[in-house]
Amino acid sequence: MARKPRVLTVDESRCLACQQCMTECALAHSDAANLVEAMRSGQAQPRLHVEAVGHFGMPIQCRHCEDAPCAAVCPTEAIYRPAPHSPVLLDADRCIGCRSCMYACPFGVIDMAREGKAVVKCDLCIRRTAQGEEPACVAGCPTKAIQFRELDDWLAQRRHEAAKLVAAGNETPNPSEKG
Amino acid sequence: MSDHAPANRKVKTVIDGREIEVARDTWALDAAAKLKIRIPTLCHHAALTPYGACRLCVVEVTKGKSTWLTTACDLPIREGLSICTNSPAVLAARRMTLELLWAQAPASEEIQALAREMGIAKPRFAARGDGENRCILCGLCVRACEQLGAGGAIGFTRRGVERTVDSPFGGQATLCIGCGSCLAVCPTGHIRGIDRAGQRRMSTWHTEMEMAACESCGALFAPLRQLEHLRPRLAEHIPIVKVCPACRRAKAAKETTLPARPGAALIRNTRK
Repeated sequence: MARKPRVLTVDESRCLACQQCMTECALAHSDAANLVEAMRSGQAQPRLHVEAVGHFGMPIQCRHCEDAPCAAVCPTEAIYRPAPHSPVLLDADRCIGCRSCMYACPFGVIDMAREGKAVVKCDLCIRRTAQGEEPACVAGCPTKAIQFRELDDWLAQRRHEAAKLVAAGNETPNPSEKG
Repeated sequence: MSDHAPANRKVKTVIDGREIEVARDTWALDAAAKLKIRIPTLCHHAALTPYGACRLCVVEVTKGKSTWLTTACDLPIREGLSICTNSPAVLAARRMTLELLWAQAPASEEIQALAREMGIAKPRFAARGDGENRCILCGLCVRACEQLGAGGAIGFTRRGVERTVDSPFGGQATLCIGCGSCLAVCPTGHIRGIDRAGQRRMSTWHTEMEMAACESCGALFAPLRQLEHLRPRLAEHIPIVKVCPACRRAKAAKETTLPARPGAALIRNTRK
């Protein structure tokens, strides 16, 4: 059974910039049992960043691009997409630390791991989602600003909202926008 | 891909008394890892061609009536092999190897830590040279550099006891793109590099190069040569971004947040 593709969506009007998503992410990607342990081990490192926009915050994480530049430049195939709708994953054992992906990523969401041996990136919490859990950033967000939704549902909602705006005469679709 | 390729054929092997079925020609080190059997190694990297240099992954292999010691990292698993990773002969050979590595690279903290782990308290053999060496000639840096596809900036040079890894003729490595992979894969802390005065200095390779400045914040974020190296590797419609990763995140955040009029972002063209 193929699971329907799901994406992280952000309702920026709900983001408090509390950075709980970063904390949860760092913990979920460490072997430690709790945050204090994870910090002590030195391996706690978030895969997403809350960026300041004026007085507001906006979490920025890997887009899992369809034509991922990070995977295209990786000399060891350490970054790869195992299946068409899967997240873009990193096999840290295969990473030689050349940082090419960091420079190729249009969103700046790949970081060097603290110990400097490999990079780290968002894996959409595949281990959690395989067990039916939500990604750590989603589960930890106190205002549900970050959500993990089925792509089709989310696109339908966006279409509906856009249609309502057009119908109300508030906005016309941009003709240069395709797809 | 053909299902009949011999590499896809499964073979059975026994490691430390436990049977496992793996694809034919799987490296013994990887097969052991599948059984969660840890074999110490310094020169192995999952993405690079096995080289069998450090000899620490030595194991005892039995096939039929013959038994011999060999390295697990470059031993392809075939039908009928039985492998022991911790027999007295293996442990003795491994211990001796590490003592020799310690003499070769006495200044390496990683080697010292491994020695302590194996219960070797102090070096048995006299340290080579001035006692400051950290290189065990494992060739990980050379292999990583070749894998990068920039031409191979560094290589082995000289012979016998004078063998080292160096840039061509000990001068500027003209093919070096300053990516620092050599530094990242080096298991013994030999390779040095530093960013100073707007330059990336790979001091071990006597090489300096210019860094690209972020067009937004001015931070020196990547070696210019590496950005040039990446250009042909990216699809044509993807530009080489001339801003640093932090500024890219800020830009992405700014572009995806709502403008003053609620809802307008829904149909705004955000690709420009």
